[in-house]
Amino acid sequence: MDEHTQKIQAKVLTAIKRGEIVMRPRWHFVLKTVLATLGFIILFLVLIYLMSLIMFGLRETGILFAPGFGWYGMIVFLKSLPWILIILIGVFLIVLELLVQKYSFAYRRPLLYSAGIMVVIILGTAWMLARTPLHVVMMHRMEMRPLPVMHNLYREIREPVWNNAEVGKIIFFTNKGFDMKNPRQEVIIVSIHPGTRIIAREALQVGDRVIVVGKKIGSTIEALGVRQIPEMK
Amino acid sequence: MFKTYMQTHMSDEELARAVQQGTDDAFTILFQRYEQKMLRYGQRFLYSYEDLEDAVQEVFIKTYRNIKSFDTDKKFSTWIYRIAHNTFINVIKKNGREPVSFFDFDTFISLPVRTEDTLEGLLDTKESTEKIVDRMKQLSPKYREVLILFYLEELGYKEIADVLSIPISTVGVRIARAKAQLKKIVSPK
Repeated sequence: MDEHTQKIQAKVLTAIKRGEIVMRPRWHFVLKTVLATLGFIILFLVLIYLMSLIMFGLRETGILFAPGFGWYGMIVFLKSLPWILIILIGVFLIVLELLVQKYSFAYRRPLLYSAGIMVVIILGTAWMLARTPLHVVMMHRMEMRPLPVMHNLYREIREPVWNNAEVGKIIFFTNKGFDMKNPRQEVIIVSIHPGTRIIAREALQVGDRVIVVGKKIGSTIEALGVRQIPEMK
Repeated sequence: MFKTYMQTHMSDEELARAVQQGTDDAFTILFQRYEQKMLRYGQRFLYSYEDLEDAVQEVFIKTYRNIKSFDTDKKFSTWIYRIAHNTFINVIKKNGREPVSFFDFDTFISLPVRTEDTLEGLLDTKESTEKIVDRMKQLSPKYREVLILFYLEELGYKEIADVLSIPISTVGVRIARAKAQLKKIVSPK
């Protein structure tokens, strides 16, 4: 082994003396740390924003209330979730966790702890952000001055298209139920039958915003459930 | 004269600081202090000696190149073992002889486990340390390495956690599992 160690030592030390191996300057590592920290902060903020957008969207569209109508409502809800955004958030979370795992405060504890703490912080901050007027303002701004990706994200919240659910404002009551206008300004005929579950604080009135879950055929929907959407404060 | 002073009076961290400030002789001393350790660690971790020589050379080249990123308030030994670990894992991955998993479920959630202090004690056999080390070759790299670092390189749980970038509790879990596997290999009945 001695012969080998001398060989290794000679090779490395000679290469250093000849200047073939040089030390990386300190700024190289400082820059790397700054870029990693910046990447972490940007990713963290993007995650909070996307998460709050999902939370805002679920509430604003009213689809959040669909699971209240049992299994059918739950399936409608799951199908309506913005899966691309959710997958994107998952990928960003993995990248964020990989960035954090380089530091001893993160890797010395089980992954579940650091990931869990991060998820809790993101969810909490996103929940608070979703309750601010930020997304309402952004939604209106995107209507006036659309930005490429953002415009589509907010349009899906403003004018959601679902298979077996509709959201809109009641325009008048009929013998079978009521007619409502959805955000795309289409008139939807809502048919109510004895089994329809209606959830409202008071009796439904013209002008109320509601979500209707049920089988949709053309512009008619056989309501399984109707729920009044409370106005956002 | 100064070299002799450095050899006898300066800690690894002080030498590393001297290298950062441009004293290349300090690196020669660090080299001398760690070359046998790195070769021993590598020899037990890697099979082929050709790989080992290249890998250890790579460890010292990386150490020199990146020495300015070393925080002299921390332990130099942990830092160089970490470089060695990454280099050896890359060699294993490159050779493709043994599987190295990207994600380890042990790091997800783990519970603390206590373990014995000596290699002979853990197995309760009359086999010599070298024979046991030879049997370790049958373990997967992640279990083999943790036994080497704990029993042979005599690193603590926290240091091993820093070398491998895994939770401290996972170190205990891996040692316990590695020990159980090694027991099966040594006494198959």
